[in-house]
Amino acid sequence: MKIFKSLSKRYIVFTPILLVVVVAQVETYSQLTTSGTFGAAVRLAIPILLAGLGGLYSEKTGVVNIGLEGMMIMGTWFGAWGGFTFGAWQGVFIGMLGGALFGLIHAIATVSFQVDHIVSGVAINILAAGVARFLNVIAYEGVAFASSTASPRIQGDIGIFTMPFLAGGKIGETVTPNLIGRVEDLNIFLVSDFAGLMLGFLSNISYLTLFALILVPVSFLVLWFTPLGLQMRSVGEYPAGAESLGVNVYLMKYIGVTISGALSGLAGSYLVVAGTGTYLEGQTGGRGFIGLASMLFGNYKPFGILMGSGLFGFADALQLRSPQAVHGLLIVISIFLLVLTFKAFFEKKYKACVVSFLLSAAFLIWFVNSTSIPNQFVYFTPHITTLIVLSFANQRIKLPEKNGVPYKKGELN
Amino acid sequence: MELYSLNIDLNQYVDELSVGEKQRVEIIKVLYRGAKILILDEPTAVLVPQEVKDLFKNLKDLKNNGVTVLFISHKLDEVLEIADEISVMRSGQMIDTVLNDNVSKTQLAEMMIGKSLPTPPARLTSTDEKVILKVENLKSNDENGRTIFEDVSFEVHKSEILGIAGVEGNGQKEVVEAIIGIQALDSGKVIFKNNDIEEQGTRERLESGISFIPEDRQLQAMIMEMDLTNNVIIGRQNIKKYKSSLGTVKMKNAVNESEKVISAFEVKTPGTSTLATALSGGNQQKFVVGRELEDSPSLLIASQPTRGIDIGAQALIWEKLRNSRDEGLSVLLISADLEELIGLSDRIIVFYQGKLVKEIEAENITPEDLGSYMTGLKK
Amino acid sequence: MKMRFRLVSVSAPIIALTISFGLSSLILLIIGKDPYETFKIMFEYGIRGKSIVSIINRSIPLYISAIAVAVGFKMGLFNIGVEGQYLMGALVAAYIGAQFSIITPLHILFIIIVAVATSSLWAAIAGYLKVEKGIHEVISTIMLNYIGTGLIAYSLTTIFDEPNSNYDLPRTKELPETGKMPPLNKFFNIEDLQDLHGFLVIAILVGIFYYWLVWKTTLGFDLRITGSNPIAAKFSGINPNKLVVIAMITSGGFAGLVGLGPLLGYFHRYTIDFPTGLGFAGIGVALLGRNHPFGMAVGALLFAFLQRSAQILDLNDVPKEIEQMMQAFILLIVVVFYEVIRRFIVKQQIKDASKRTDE
Repeated sequence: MKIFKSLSKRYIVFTPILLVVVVAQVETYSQLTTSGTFGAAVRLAIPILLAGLGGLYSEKTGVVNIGLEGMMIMGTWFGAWGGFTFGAWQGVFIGMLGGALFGLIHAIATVSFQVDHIVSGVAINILAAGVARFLNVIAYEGVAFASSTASPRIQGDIGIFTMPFLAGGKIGETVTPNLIGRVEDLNIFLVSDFAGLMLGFLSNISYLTLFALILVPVSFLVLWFTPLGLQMRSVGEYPAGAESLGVNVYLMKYIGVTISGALSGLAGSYLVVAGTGTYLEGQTGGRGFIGLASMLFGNYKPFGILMGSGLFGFADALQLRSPQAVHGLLIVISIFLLVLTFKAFFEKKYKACVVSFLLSAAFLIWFVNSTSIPNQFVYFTPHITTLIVLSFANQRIKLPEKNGVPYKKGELN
Repeated sequence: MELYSLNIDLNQYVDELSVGEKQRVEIIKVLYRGAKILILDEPTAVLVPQEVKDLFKNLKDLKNNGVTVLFISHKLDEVLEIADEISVMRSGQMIDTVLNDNVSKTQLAEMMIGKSLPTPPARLTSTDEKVILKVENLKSNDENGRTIFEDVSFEVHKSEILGIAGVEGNGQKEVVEAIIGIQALDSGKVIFKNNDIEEQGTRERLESGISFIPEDRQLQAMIMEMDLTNNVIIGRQNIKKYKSSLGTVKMKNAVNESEKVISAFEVKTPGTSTLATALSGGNQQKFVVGRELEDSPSLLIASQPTRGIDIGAQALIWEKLRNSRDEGLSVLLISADLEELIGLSDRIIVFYQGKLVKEIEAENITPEDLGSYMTGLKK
Repeated sequence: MKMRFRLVSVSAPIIALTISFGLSSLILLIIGKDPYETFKIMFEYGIRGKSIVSIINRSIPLYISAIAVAVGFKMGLFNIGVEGQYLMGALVAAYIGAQFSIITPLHILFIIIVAVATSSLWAAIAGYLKVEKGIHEVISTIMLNYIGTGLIAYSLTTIFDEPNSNYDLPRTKELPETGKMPPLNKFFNIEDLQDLHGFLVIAILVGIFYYWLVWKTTLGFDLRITGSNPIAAKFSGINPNKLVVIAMITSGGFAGLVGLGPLLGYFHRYTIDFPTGLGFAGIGVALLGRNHPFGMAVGALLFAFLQRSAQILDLNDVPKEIEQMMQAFILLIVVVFYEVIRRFIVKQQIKDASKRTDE
């Protein structure tokens, strides 16, 4: 009974999931829960995850970092250049450095010069775009396949791996049976869909993905179980108190912000190295900001950020691979809104009840009267998902106390 | 803990402790690191007399065990009680260091402000019969359903200072914010000059004759980055005096008013174009109090009006409050400084755990007794 | 004394410009180009008559965009969504404006109203999300930019597309003659040069209006104090939620005017080539001009000058992208120095004030 109670509290999370699985049973919308989709979701979620984790390190030390997008852009450019000049893994590392460099700039501006955090972040984004464009023009003069907005392909790649037995990976030269894949093919309700989810995590996973995923528990341990993490967090909560106990507030902030730059840079490298293989202007597509959103959604906790980025990755995957399936989401939204209508009714919030009922009807009409969503709309699936998710998730947000407040040594505010 | 008789339940969460206990945790933390010197900055600001007694006992024990204590305070009685040696600083300079036996309270005060103190006058007029503010059965819960305050009813008369006593966090701040319209009320009536004002917004209340001195002058009462001229308009920017029919701001009137406040309240500043942040705390507070009083309100709500300011500024503010009261002003005064509360108020009401627990004439109570009511020891 | 501080504030952008030039020179040297020559060429190209007209034309939407952003900044709001707002406004205005024809002043006025209404509405969404759902406007406006782009792409290819057109790409019907803004060349005796956009007049009016609104009216006063200290604003009776929505709508309204310069001046229709990026550029100009109507005008002209004069660089074998770097440098450095100067001024004031105390 207790499980039921806590489950029903989380209905906002479970209902849509259940609805999606149900809708996925229909042939046209089956792509919603295939391993292909989930695999893509994982790949697309990783940059968002890394950006979100990056944002976490910065915010925990009390610095708002809107410049994640710019740092990611630097990660893409430096990652591509490093990959082209040296090799894939070197590219990743250099991309991280590029992001970290811009993180450092943000730190200098906000911590040492006390510039408003958001202003600095915006300036960093603009700077990164300009620098990327400029560097791309001068670095590849005379090289084939390069233009002002794209770089040539990187050399080599990061290996990918597929789990043997469970996902049909190779051991040595032999291909092992794909057990979970078989379960997926059986098309059993819920079980096969779940198999698809598992397969997405187990097949064709880049080593970089594994690295990124490991960062989640690592971040959790570092921030909550090490003295360094405690110092960083105390600086974000109450810098004056931390200082009076001997913590070097400025240093902690520098560390936090630079790490956030490095992680965003890593996100950018990932986009290049585990994705297109080249730098393309605009390839970050707002993912730095979506990373921020997943950080908010995840309530400033690493595992929450993982969940959030997974959700956004899923939206992104659908948008890229199966626009058809996105159409199925319409009916999911419609039914979900209907559920909300009932909830509002029982809570006597009549205005909300009417609104969600009308919206539910609107989505239903849209669903019935169309066979697909225009691809210009599909294009912004992740962005509108961000807004919707943030609208619902915001009740439980808890910012570090002194977030966004410039701190001056010796100041007791 | 045993050594210094600091008793705390180690398994409790810090935010569930009382203020005095939290302070003890801080002291334990510091001692745990092997401190030989303990520096306490205004440690008794939020303690009631019983807790102060306990703290002093702890400090004396610490002293006897070889710890050196630096006790920073502006409360002269306490300094004289606890200190062996007293150093006086003013404007960033060391004035003198004296032994406790050789100095009197007045001497200390004079060293602190650099000139002789004024003596407080006796009360000239008496409280009027007319009721200016009446609150009935105020009740408010927070988002989690916990009661912030309930069953709160009291009256303030014309020409009266009603003091509100209470340990921080017992609901009195929120009651006062409810009267001004910032805190939401679940139920109850607020009647100002015979009008129900619960439905009115803060702006209307401010414009109808209520003035408010919030407890945090830098965060709540002033805009630090703006100059004094702009700061004098705050709270009343929509009245005819400051707003033309076109919607523009009448700056000239603001400048005049600001200069009036500066001279009437002896605010030390190069001029009215000085930024608020450039002034010292005492001058900032004098400006805020002056701004609120010069508006000729019917009701003034003053929350910690002399917190953290120098003795000279404090004396001036007290004098102004008394004068205005004598001329008919009603004042609702919240203060953690029990001497200020008892010294200024005509009547005092006490808040404990969100309820009004005692009402008494100020001349009939001592700080110790008041402290007992505030901590629930006496009913 | 106030004058003294004003002059000191101006030093920040000058320092930023100098350092930026320095950094850019360094970069040019590294890639093997002569900085002195480069800047000389740029400057000479930039002050030619044709260039000057082009620069003024370019600066018009930059300036208005900066004002839109600045209105938000004054209130402590970061309206990054000017980009999406102005494009939405321009598209809808281009479509509706081409459906009929009335005398020019009224026609143009109508187009302006439609653009402003559309963009304000789009901005209001972000305002609502902030007030009701607590979503920070940086995130919501950026997301709305992407969503807006998608909506624009869709409607341009479907409902807003010019019917019966031989042209391959989607575009709106062309505005009739009455919907075009006449150029100002007659008034300046420069008939031999290209059109000087008539919208310049509107831009100047917008600047004056902005100044009046923010610094002279009570609403502007409320905006500024809420931007400086939202808590004190609340204690002074201001309803911060209401003000947030008002500020976003106002900012969005200004944004709607940004696209009208190009639309009424030479595009005369909305196409897929319609100028983008003006919303983001406006943020830079607002930061550079520190939200001051005159400062932003200078900033807009400066950036326009850089953009224009950099075009010649291609012919001289210097990557013209150096100009974007310069813009970005100026921005970051000026933002740092504004803060440094501000603190300096405050310290000075504190010194002045405490001198008096000892008298």
